[in-house]
Amino acid sequence: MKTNPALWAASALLAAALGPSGPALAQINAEVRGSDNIEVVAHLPLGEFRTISDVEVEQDMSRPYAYVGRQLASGRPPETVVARGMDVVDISDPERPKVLHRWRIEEPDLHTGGGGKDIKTFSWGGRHYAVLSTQFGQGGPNNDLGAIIFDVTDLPETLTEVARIQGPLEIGGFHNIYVYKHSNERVLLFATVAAPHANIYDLGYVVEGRVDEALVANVPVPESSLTQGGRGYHDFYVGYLPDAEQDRFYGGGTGGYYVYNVTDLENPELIVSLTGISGVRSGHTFTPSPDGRYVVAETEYQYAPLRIFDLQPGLDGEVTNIRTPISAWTANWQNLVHNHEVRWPLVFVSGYRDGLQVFSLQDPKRPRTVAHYDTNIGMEEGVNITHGAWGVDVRNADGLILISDMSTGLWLFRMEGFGGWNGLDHGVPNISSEQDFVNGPQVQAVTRN
Amino acid sequence: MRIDRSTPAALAVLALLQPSGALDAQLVAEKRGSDNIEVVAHLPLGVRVSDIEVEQEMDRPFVYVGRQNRGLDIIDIADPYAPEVILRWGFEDMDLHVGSAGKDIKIFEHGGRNYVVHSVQFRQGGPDADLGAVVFDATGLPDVSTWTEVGRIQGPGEIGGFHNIYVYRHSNGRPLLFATVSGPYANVYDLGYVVEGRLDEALVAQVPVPASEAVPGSRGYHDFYAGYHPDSEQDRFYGGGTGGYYVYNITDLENPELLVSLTGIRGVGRGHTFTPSPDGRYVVAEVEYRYAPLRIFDLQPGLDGEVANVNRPISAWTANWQHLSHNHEVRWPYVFVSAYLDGLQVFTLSDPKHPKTIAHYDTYLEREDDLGNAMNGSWGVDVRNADGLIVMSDIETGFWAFRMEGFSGWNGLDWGVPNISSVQDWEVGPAVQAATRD
Repeated sequence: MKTNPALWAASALLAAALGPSGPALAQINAEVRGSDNIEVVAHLPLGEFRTISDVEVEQDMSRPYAYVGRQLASGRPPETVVARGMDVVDISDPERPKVLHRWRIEEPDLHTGGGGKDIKTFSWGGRHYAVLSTQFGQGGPNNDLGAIIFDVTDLPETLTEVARIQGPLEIGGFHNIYVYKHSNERVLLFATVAAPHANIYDLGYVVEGRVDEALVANVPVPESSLTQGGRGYHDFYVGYLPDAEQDRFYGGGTGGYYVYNVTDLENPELIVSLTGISGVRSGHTFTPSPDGRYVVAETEYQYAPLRIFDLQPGLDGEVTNIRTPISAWTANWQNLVHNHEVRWPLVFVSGYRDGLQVFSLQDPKRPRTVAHYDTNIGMEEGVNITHGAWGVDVRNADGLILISDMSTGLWLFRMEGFGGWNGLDHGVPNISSEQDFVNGPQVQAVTRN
Repeated sequence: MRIDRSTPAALAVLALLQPSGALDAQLVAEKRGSDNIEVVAHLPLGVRVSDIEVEQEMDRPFVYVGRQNRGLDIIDIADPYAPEVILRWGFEDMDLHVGSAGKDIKIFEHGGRNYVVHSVQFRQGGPDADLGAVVFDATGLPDVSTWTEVGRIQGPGEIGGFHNIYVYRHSNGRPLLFATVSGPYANVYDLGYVVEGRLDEALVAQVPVPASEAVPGSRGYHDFYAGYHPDSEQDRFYGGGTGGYYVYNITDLENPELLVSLTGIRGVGRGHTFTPSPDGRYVVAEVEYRYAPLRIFDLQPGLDGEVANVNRPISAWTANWQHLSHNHEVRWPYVFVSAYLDGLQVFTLSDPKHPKTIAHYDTYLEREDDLGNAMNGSWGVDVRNADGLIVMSDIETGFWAFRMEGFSGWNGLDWGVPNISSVQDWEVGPAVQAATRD
């Protein structure tokens, strides 16, 4: 058959434009799990579905360890005996992470409730520690156990339990914890408790065997006319504000969100509250920008976006309460997101069913998604909406991003163009959840490296 | 120029791959609505427009639009493509009044005459802070000289006015007005008594807002719907207010019976508009704040007595998650929404677990400075069942009339459900209406 080359070429182009061929169609239909600017460095499944909680990575590159909480998540039969505790993962070769230790609570068949929830790390007296918060249910042992402290200095070989924060004031355990190097040079543990305040423990005292003296202060949840019943915090962040030379506490809980000056631990001073926000009766994770002006505020229910607030009118004393967000962000309005880490202007989010999400607050009134990866793909429909990516952490030294997915395990990512973070590179104080346990926050805020 | 056989194909390729300048301009131009929406008419009315109501009889082609700054406008839609304002009714001494001169509007018939109920919310500091609604005889329209005020529902029990109202032809034969008031209940007035001059006797019942542990303080309703439920032969009240949403059996008006509550819903401290499907199984529930979707609930577990309270939606819908929707009208399986910044929106609940948007038109065109105020734009929506005409009131841009492709009227029986919607059959009552095709 004689062919006209021009006609053939034009027809081929037309066909390409109008209708993909069979193989091309198959490619189009293949699931795209993430944005092109996300590299999956590693994925490490850790075991049974719905047994994984939060994740924490050590910030020192010479200590390449990640810690993953292990729990019995809702949705599992309560009689299920699971490994409640914590996994320690070696990420010295990030592309080949391996589990070093699987620490488990003793007598696992006797314990009830969730188990390991939140994890934080700290340094004190030249040694390194990990704090595992726990929530065990009534009807079994350790319902009054808040946290277990491990000496992890000698990893990768050994980790050693050194203390438990446990007693009548810790009944119900600690749902969330936060470790902060205070400007008074003490290393503090902020913990949610079943009470109208957050407990503050001096971790130096804890590891020195002075656990009975360790509870050094409380930060109250203000009374709210909008809600009745018990009050409490759900989550918090503490950061140094260089301009004001203050240590500030940012707590989400009953009624909304609260910002306290905790420089004088014995006299926490409420600076501004965020209550009466439409759609927010109880705050969850609440994290400020490094300069303390903007906050990212979560409330944990389906259809709730992250709300962004400008605190300036409150910080300037123009108002005592703020209730209208300046913007909001969600990965998918039909879902909800869980925890987040701010590395201004980026916010790294563990978005439950939406996996890792990263958005930018370059323009705080117009947040924009800049990267994402679905760690929870293929999970069956109908399971709880609060399922998938639970925790997120970022290693500032090299920009490694970690996600703990409740079912699929530990994920390590890199994002194109994000090779690490120091606030000074972005024109803000070098303040994030990372702590400088040697020099303290005043020095950290102005130190490039 | 010589044209060979390849030229047409090459041109087709160029047309697909390289849009001309003119085509570029078309692509950039604002597309205000979906292709299945026809704009029948747009009539700017001035500022501060509120709710809208269309008469259902085709031989009474009148639309009523609330005006917060004055009263109400009456629009003749005998020719829907050329609507005309035939009366702008306003309060006397409007400069002395403080607050809203027009919120909600409903219509009813009694004794062979046609009436309009116009709700207001005037504040203290001026006259009529205790005025709930003004009732007009509209029988003689379009002759506006016959437009007559026949009663005012006003007194200590109405201080703060009526934010929302609903009229319902009860199975006991009476036309009832349900009104939000500053109290932990909805007031129920017999409109027959009102137009007969027996105002003192008109308050015939109240539907309580149950006490809420989750939301302390004063209680009240924000909006409601009442509808007949053929299977149970009950008149049912669906109210949104403090704590969430409540469904009552109001067949015996003096003894309202709580059937099921919807409280403890995450993100819902106070319910707003709340409308059931014609069979009473599903409800569309609004809560009025930015970022809130409309939530869809399945009441069956509550109606079956398996649970006393339902607190989990089976699905949700929003036009734009960064905004919120305001009022809605259910013509099952369609839900017509006045969605503030997002204008007219129509979604289907054919599969209640997976709502889908099927049509939309932007009556407002959002502005950059709307960032802080999501409650501007489309306020009210109504649907004329006889021919499917959709009318909308936009706070700033005024009156709109639309038709949606493939929707030329509504009767529930055509969809396998009772013929129950916000439209009332004033002559035969809801029990007959539910089973009547025309």
